[in-house]
Amino acid sequence: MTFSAFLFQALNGLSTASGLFFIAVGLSLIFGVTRIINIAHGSLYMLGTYIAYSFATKIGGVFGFWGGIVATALIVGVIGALIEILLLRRIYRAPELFQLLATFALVLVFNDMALWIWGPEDLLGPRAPGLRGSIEVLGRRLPEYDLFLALIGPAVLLILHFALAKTRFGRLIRAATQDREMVGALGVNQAILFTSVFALGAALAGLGGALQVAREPANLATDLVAIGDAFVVVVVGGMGSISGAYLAAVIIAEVKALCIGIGVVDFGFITVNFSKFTLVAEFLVMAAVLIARPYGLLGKPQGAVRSIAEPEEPIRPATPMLKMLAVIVLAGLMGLPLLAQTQPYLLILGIDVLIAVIFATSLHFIMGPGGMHSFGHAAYFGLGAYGAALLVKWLAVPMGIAIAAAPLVALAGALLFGWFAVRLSGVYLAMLTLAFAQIVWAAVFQWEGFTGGSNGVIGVWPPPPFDKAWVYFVLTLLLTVIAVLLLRRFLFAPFGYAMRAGRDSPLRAEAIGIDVKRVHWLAFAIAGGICGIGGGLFAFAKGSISPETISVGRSIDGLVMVLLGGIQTLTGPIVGGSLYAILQDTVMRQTEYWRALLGIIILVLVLAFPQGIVGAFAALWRKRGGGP
Amino acid sequence: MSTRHLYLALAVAVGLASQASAQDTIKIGELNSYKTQSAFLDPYKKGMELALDEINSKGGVLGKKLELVVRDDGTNPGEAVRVAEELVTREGVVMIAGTFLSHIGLAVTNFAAQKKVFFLAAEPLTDKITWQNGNRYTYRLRATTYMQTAMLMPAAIAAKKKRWALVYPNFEYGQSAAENFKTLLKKAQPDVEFVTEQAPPLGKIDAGAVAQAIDDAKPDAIFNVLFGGDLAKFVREGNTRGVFKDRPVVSLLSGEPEYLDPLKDETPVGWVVTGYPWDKIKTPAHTAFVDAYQKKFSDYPRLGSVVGYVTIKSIAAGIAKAKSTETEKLVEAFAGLQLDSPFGPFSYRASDHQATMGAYVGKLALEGGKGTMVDFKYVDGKDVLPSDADVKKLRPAEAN
Amino acid sequence: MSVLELRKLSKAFGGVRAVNEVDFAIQPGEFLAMIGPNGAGKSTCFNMINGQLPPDSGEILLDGQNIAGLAPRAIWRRGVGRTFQVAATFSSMTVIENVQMALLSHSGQTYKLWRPVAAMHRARALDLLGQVGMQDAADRPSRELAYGDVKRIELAIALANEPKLLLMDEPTAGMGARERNGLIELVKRLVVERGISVLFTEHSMDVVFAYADRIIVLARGRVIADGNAGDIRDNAKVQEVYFGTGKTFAEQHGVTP
Ligand SMILES: Nc1ncnc2c1ncn2[C@@H]1O[C@H](COP(=O)(O)OP(=O)(O)O)[C@@H](O)[C@H]1O
Ligand SMILES: [Mg+2]
Repeated sequence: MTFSAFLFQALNGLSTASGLFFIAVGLSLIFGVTRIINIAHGSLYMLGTYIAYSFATKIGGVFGFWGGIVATALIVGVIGALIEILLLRRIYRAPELFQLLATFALVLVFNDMALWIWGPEDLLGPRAPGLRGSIEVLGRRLPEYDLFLALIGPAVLLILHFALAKTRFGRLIRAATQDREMVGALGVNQAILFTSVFALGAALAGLGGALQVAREPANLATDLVAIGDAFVVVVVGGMGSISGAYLAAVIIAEVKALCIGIGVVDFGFITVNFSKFTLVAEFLVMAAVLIARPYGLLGKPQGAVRSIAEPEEPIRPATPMLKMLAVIVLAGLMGLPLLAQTQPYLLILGIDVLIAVIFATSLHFIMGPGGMHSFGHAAYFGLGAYGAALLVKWLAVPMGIAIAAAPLVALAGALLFGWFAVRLSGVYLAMLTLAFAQIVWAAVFQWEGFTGGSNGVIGVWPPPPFDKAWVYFVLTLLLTVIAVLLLRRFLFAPFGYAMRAGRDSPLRAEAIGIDVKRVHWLAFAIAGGICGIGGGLFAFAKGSISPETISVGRSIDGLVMVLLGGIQTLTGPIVGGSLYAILQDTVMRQTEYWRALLGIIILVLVLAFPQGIVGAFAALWRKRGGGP
Repeated sequence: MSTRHLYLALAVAVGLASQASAQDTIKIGELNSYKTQSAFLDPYKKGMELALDEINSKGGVLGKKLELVVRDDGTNPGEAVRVAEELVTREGVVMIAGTFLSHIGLAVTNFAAQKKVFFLAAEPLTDKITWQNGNRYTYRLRATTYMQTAMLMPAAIAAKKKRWALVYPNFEYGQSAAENFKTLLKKAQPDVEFVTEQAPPLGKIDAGAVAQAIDDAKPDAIFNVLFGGDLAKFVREGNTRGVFKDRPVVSLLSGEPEYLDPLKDETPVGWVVTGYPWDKIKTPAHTAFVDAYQKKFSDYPRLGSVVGYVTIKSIAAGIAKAKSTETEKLVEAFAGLQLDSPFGPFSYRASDHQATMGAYVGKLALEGGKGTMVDFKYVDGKDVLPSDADVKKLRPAEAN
Repeated sequence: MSVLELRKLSKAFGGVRAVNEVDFAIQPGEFLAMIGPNGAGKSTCFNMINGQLPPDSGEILLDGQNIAGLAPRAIWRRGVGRTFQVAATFSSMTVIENVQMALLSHSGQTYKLWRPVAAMHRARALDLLGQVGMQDAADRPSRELAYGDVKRIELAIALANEPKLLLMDEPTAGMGARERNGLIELVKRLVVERGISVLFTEHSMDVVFAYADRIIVLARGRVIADGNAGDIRDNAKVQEVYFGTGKTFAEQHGVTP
């Protein structure tokens, strides 16, 4: 790579950076003020591209294109405001992170909505009127539109910076970012503030999406790609810092451009194709930044967010009623193999449900009582699954040993990553766990010779008698019950109390001799290890394992399960995991627009049970005076 | 194992109570990544419906109507396997078909062998499905990565270029296409140099940087495997930056309407591609297909339509030949099964279970502001596939 | 030998010298009050002694050993208990579980994974709760308690490791006069019974003058006076810091700042 080629790639990077900045800045503002992790932000960006496409093609010309971009930003801003008013406002008092569930449902709904309105095909918009050509720089051709993008990013950054510094609205946003309660105390109408911030953030996302219309086709997969990028940029830059967001966008875009520019390098003993690193470059950057600077490049430590939700009830040993319910459910499950002849699918679905229960319960262990919101729990599921599958593939070990090894592999991974993760807290911890999961995913994806790359490992089937669904079901049931009871036992033991102590008040916990970081680290490892059991079972249940099992989507599934069931209850994840697994199965079968249907069902559940399903029933129970 | 006996006894009791009623249809299970690959699979589904109508209006197969049970596979191998199990165990389908992405196809292929279920892989292109990971129960319709690459080789060799650049999506399909291309071209032209390889992540290409990096490597020619949104971005950036100027480009799948049509007036003229010029194929078989398709859906067919259509036609032909829906009989019936398609007659090879349905190779051109193919010809799959003896060596012993 | 001795202890935040070369010592069984206007540096002092903040310079000698810069949990293990200005308890636990947690930690059982907490150290925890008069509330969720009661729980927690030194930062903040006297009386009694040394801050001069064995006055990060109630009452510097010139504690009698 020559020096001028390097410089030119750096210039390319700046236009990409502007794109990243637009996705990220709105998310950062919204999180800063409302503390909501808006997963639907990528969907707003995607809608931006689609709407701008419609303007540019239906009206057309200079006005249709440029006017369309402005109009798109406004329309998406209005959509954002509506989301806040109609949905989020109703659930601000729910336990933290619950709003995430609602915005996740919106992702599903918006995606199918776009499919319904614009159809399945990629829609490539026209080139930008006035900026169709290219200019000559360093002996190369730079598209005029790229130059325009490279400039508009910093321009919007300046405008925002100025607006935040000089206007009353801007000062309010900054104050709220520092201390949410204080703004409430100042007598500012919080509802209006939140709505306007949501609208502004959404409009910026819409603008970002609209600006891409001349560069890339509107595409139904954009939403998840965009939200992934946005998270990374926001966290690297520092939550709530708009200059940080731009800085992070530039760094990430430049690292990627550099990887692409370097291309294939032959080191003599090994040939490395650097372009393949773009798969994970941003997550490597994020992990490095968070380990060195726990609050991102320009972020400040956040004041502890005092949750406005009802605090958690003390945990109590199972009541006779709950015990009886558990026995009935267990008896029912033990009876399922009776249906092996007539309803064989029930067993297969049952295996999946049980594995989901292990996944959700182990995540809940650290998320609920531990207060560590892991956004990368799928990593440990995947490590368990791959650990088992690779042992079979390379060493031909029997299934028993492979399944026993699964939690150990996951435990090792969780010990390693957890050590870094517990040094952070809140959303930064969440993002670091996400980064680690992505790194595991990329390693599995890239290390073809060992892991089978994108194909994964195939042909990991259980030997007889476990090849019969009902036998495997019984095995899964047994391990699930052990896993769930083990985690429950830990929670009622001193270790579980110490973990909750560290969550409730790290200050007090440290002052009575508890090494909070160490306790949380070990808890993280335990959760990872237990999750690995689920992974091992999964590999043999499906006969194969592929990188998808470690994907962000899978980690988010885990969050959804825990939140659906109710994060503040111990049985919540069991119910949430089961329900989500069954819902996915039935909904996927019912309709062409199954995603929207799933989204709507989740929305209904969110609005009906703002504390999760079990949480809501528990609250009802308490209100009635704890029953007879 | 006394519990087991207890279970069995009870199972029989329960089973008697709910015996399935007599079947008057033949159920076919189909699973695919409808949500995430809808550009291809929407037309594909329509193609299936058309074939189903035609078959059933003529009385079905073996005196029974064909019934299609369609499922989304969640674009995830694990989920696909569960869906396949659901189709087999709950819906009681006699066979399964479908899948799009290579790794999902492979997972289902493996499932088919394990559960001894007949599987017709419709679209996934990876060679492994019929070769390295091939098995007794799996057949595949679509022309493979190897076949399509081989179809392009004459053009690549004729270009007489020494320095080649490769760009492909970083997953099974892209990687194996690149490997095939390098191997085949090296064999024909030993002094060839591969000056750069760009492997952007699927669906996330940073097109400006990639196009520039290719230009900076100063290749004489380019081999492209990108498709879908990645392709559109790459083409626009490459056009603006003059990357394709005076450089022959050989490209997989880019002539398929699914990927070509979104490019509109940006269509990179002169690329040699595999594809499907639907409006220019005038064989009677194809014309009849297009007419029927347009009549039913008021839309033109994409390549997916043909694949969906032929998938169902293959299944009907296979069942008719087997005179049964039993798995083992189907496996045997598909070996050497001959049938007609809109592309002409083809067969399923007994040696590697690969269909010989070919593809069209030609040059991209712009006509009336839209992309199309010119100077194209149909390349029959059997002309590019290795010999029966060769593929036998590629397949695991137990698959043959 | 003193239980605790501070030598030239200093801490600055940015330009603010919150604590500036502070020296003083506590004797075994001494009930020592630290007073001073808001922002004088009292909490900062406490935070350095219990390890929450590392000092910029100076020494903190506990039984003659320098503990400056150690982690809070290490200092706690050496027998220093503490309550916070803003009470900190474990809100998701019952009252007794809060105390049990401290007892578990004290007996090195934090990492035990098997036996349920419910049966562990319950008697001892009830006993401690009894000492602070909270036995009846043992099984109530701690988050439901009134603020004054939370302060008592904190005290019970702080006593769990049988400390030789107890640090109490404004233990009576937010309490009414009667409750306040009750609590301090309770602490005083514990000091006498167990021979614990207590360092506490307090706004009510009545309480301080009535109960403290000795009083230290802090102003702008420096110790400006150190002595018994009489000495402090008559100290001109102290009067100036508190009231400006001309007024005395005598004239303010009955009024708490
Ligand atoms: N964490 C901190 N960061 C910056 N300044 C602080 C911090 N803690 C205390 N201060 C400052 O140090 C000084 C002493 O505070 P503090 O010890 O809380 O006083 P007191 O407890 O006597 O009221 C005050 O000026 C306060 O503003
Ligand atoms: Mg204070």
